[in-house]
Amino acid sequence: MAEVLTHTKVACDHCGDPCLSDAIQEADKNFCCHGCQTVYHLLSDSGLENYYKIEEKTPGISMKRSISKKRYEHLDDESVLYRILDFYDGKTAKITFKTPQIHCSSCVYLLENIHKIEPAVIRSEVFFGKQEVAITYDPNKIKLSELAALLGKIGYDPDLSLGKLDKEEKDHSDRPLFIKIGIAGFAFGNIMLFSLPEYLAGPGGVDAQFIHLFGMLNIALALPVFLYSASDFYRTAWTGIRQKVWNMDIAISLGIMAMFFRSLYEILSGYGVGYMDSFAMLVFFLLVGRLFQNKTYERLSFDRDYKSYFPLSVLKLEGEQDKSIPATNIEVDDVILIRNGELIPADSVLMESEAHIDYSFVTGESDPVKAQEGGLIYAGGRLYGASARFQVKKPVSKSYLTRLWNNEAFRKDSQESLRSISQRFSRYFSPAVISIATIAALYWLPTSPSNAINAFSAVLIIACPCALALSAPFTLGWATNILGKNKFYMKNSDITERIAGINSIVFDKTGTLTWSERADIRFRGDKLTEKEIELIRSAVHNSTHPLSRKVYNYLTQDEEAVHYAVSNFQENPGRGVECDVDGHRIVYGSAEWVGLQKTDQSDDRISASHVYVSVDGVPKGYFEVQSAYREGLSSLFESIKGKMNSYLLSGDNDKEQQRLLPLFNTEDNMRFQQSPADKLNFISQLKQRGENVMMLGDGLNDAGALRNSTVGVSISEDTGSFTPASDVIMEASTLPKLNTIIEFSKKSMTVIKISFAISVLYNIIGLAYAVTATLSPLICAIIMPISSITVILFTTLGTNIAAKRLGLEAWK
Amino acid sequence: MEVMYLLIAASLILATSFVIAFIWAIRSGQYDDKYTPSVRILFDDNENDSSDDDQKKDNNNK
Repeated sequence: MAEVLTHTKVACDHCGDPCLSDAIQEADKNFCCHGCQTVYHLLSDSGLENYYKIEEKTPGISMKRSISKKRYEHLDDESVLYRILDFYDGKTAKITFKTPQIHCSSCVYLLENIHKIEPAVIRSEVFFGKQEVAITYDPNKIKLSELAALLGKIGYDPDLSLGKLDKEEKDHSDRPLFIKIGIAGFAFGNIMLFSLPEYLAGPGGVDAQFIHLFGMLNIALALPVFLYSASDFYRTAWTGIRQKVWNMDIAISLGIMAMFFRSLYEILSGYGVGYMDSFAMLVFFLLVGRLFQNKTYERLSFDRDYKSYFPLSVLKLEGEQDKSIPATNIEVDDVILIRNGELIPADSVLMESEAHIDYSFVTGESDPVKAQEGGLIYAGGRLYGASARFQVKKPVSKSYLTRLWNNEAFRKDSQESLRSISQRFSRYFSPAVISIATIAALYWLPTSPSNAINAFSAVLIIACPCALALSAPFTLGWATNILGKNKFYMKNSDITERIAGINSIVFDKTGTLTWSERADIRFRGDKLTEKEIELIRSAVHNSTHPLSRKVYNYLTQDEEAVHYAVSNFQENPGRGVECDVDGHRIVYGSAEWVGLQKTDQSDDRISASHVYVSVDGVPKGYFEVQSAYREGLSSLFESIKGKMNSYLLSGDNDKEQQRLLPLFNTEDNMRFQQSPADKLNFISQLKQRGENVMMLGDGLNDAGALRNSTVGVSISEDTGSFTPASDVIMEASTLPKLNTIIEFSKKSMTVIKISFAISVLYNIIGLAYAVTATLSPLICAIIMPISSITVILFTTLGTNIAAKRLGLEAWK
Repeated sequence: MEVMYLLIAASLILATSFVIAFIWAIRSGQYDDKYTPSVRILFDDNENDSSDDDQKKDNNNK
C-alpha cells in the first residue's frame, strides 16, 4: 500500500513551487523534487548559500519544468566549438551564453560565483539586461559541454541554437551616440559661457581683446561638434540627396552648415560674434532627441528566424558510429538520429516502423501525429517517444518550413515602402526653406549684396528645423515607453506610425486567441468518486503529455490535493498510459487504448480532444478538453467592429468555426487548415487590396505572415520565451487592450502634427527677422531653445495625457 | 583683468578633463550594463564566508 505523502501547502525551499506527491523533506528544508534538492546541495556545499538570502526567498528555477534533458556533447565538436567561442588561445577560452532564466540579483550572485562550484572557471560576468553570462574558463580542465551541462544542472539552461553559429557581431550599443552627445554638451556649455559677456555687456561692450579671444575659443570648441557630433546628419542628408528624397536631415545639415560657416566668417573678419552657441545647442538637442527615440529592449529578440529554433547540431549515423555535425551541414541521404523531444531539422523519411511527431510548432495542431515507416516528416516536427532514425531528403535550407524564409517578403526591407510622417512633411519643408532664402537674397541683391548674403544664411539658420526635428523623436520615444509599460514592446519607435494606420487585423487561433496551456475541461461519463479523482490525479501527474497536464490542472483545484505514489508507469506515445496507483490499475488515453468505443460518432465535429479513463478495468468515461479562449476577446472584437476588418487564419481544422462565428461575423473571414505559405499569401492579398494589415501570431508557422504584414505582432505569455521574428512582442494579457493601443498610436500622430504646427509658428516669427536681415545672435539664441523646449514639453504632456485618458499605464 | 586669462585656462582644462573622463567611461563599457554592477557591489566574499560559518553553527546547534 502506498501512503499519502503530502497534503500541505509547503513551498519548495529552492524554487517556491508547492511541494506535491514526490516532495522531499530534509532537516528544516522542503524540496518539490530531486532536481531542486540536488541544486540546493551543490550550492550549499560550495559555500553559496547566500543565493537564498539576497532577494527572493526562493529564487531557484524549478527543476521539474526543465523536462528536456538536453545534451551538450556536440559543443565539443571542433566545427562548432571555435565558431561559438568568443576567445580561445589554448590556455583560456571565453564563451557568452544566453540564459533567459536570469531574473533576480540572486541569479547574478550565483552565476558570478560559479568558480566556487567549478574551479576550472576563471571568471564569469553577468549582463543582466541582455540576460547573458560571459564565462572565461580553462579549456584544458573542463570541456565546453561540461560547462554548459553545469549551467543546466543549476537551472540556467543555456539557449543554444543554430542561429548562434553565424554570429554577426551586431553592435547595438549606443556608445558613439553617447560620446557625440557628451562632446556637443561640453561645447554647448562652454561656448555659452564665452558668449554671455557679449549678450550681457552694457553699452560699452566687451573689451576688444576678449571678443577676439572668446571668438577663437568658440571656434575651437565648435569644431569637434561640427566635424564629429553632427556627422550622422550629413550622412543621412547625403543618402537623401543621392536617392532624390527630401529628408529632414537635409534641412538640418543646411542649417548647421550655414550657422557654422557664417559664424566662422563673422568671427574671423571681426564683423560679429557669430551663432556658435546656438549651433552647439542645436546639435546637442537633436542628438538627445535621437537617443530618446532609440530606446530598445535588449532582452527581447525581434529577429529570430528558423535557425533560432533548430538544434545546433544533430547526430549523424555513419555505419555503426554516430558523429555530431552542425545542422547546417546535413546533406541529402544522411541518416540522422533524433531523440525523444528533439526537433527534426530537415525534411526526412522515417526509418523506424512507427513514430509520433508533434507538429504543434509548425501547424499549431496540438495532438501528435502518427507516422509510418517511409513517411515523409517535415522539418520542425518534434519527435515524441523512443529515438528514431531518419533519412534526410532535403537540406535544412530547402525544407518545408525554412522555404518560407526564401520568400521575397523576407528579402525586402518592409520599412522602406512606408514614408514616415516627418519624411512626408520635409518633402515640402526643405524646398520651401530654400526658396524663401533665395527669394530674400534676390530681394536684397540689387541694393545691398552683403544684406543678401546675410538674409540668405539667416533664413537657413532660423529655419533649421530643430523643434520640428524633435517633434517626432520625442513623441515616438514617449509612445514606445508608454506602450512598453503596457507590455507591448516595439522593435523601434517608427512602428507607432504604422500601427496608427492599421485597418485590418488578422488573428492566428492556437496560442493567440486561445491559451497555450489552459483548457476548458469537462468530464463525461459515470460520476467519479472522490477516491477515483485522487487516483486519476496521481496517474496523470506523471505524464508530460500536454493533455495530461491539462487534465491534471483541472483535477487539482487546490494545493491540498491528495497524491498517491505511482508504480508500474508505462507510457505509450500517441495512445496513452497505464499504471498502478494505490493498488488500483489506472488506464487513460485514446478510446482504443482504454478499450472503449468512441461514444459518439459525431465527435469529430466537436472541437475537443478526449482523454478516456478506466479504473481497475472498468471504463469510467472521458475528459473533454477544449481549448480555452483568452479573456476579454468579445469586448476586443466589439471595440473594433465597424472600424476594422478582422480575419482568422488557423492551421487547425474548422472544428471551432461555430464557436468563433460571432466574433468574425461571417464565415468568409475565417480560414482554416492554412499552411505557413497560405498565411503569407493571404496577407499579401489583403495588402494588394490596399489594406494595412496587423497580424497577430505566436508560432513559427506565422513567421511569414508576421513578416509580410504591415505590423507583425507576436504574442507570448512570457516574454522570456521564444517568439518568431516580428515588429512587436506583446504579452498575452495586453490583447484585450489592442484597440486602445491603436487609438493611442493615432493620438500620438496627432501630437506630432500639432507640434509640427507649433515649431512652424516659431519658424515664421524667426523668418520675419531673417528676411529683413536683422537676425541678431541674441534672438537666435533665445528663439531656438524656447521653441525646442516648448516642443519637448508639449509632446511629453500630450502623449502622457492621451495615454491616461485612454486608460493605459503612463508616466507617473 | 589679466586674471581672466588664468581663469579661462583653468576652467577649460577642468572641463576638458571631464569630457575625457566621460569618453573613457563610455569606451570602457561602464554604461553598457546599468543594472548588474549595482547588484554586484553588494556581494561580499568575506561576509559570505562568515555567514556560512554561522549557518554551520546553526546546524550544529540543531
